[in-house]
Amino acid sequence: MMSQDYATTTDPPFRASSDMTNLEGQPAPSFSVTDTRGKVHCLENYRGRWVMLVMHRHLA
Amino acid sequence: MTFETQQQALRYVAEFELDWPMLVDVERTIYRAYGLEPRASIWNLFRPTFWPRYLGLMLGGRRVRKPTGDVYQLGGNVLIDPGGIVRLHRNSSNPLDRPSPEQILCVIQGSQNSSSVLREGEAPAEPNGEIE
Repeated sequence: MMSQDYATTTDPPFRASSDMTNLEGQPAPSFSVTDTRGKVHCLENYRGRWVMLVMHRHLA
Repeated sequence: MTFETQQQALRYVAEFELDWPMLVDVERTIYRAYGLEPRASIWNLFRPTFWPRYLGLMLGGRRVRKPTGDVYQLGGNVLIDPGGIVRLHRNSSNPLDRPSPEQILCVIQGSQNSSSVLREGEAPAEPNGEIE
């Protein structure tokens, strides 16, 4: 059975502003999210490895 | 990562035979956490300079479908080093705005050449305790 399909972040709510749209040099906001196979991915579990997040536009 | 539904994501993964996980962020919680607000304009999406690229994709077999999600939501790329620090953060300004593989490799190689990146299994450097 797949776990509930929602994403969470443990960081405070992010408020977009021109000062915060580039996070280079800063700790990556942590998150926990489910993939298409139902597996939960937490950013912390990838410590020690390079991670590339590719955020898609709409998939059509 | 996508903000569309599980079903649409599964279809996409199957069509393009993706080997890596496709994360599903329907509420766009993570999109917002990384500064990706839906702010594209019609001009940003369909300006004439993009037409050759779109035509090339269609001629290459890419199917044109009616958009199923928020067309004003652009994407982005975030490269995170082994220590959890963002090393590359590119929120796309238009549909074709993505870092090249060479740019990504350059960032990784540049970071690995410096001493500020934790390598796998490496602990952070301890301060020497001296106060001047």
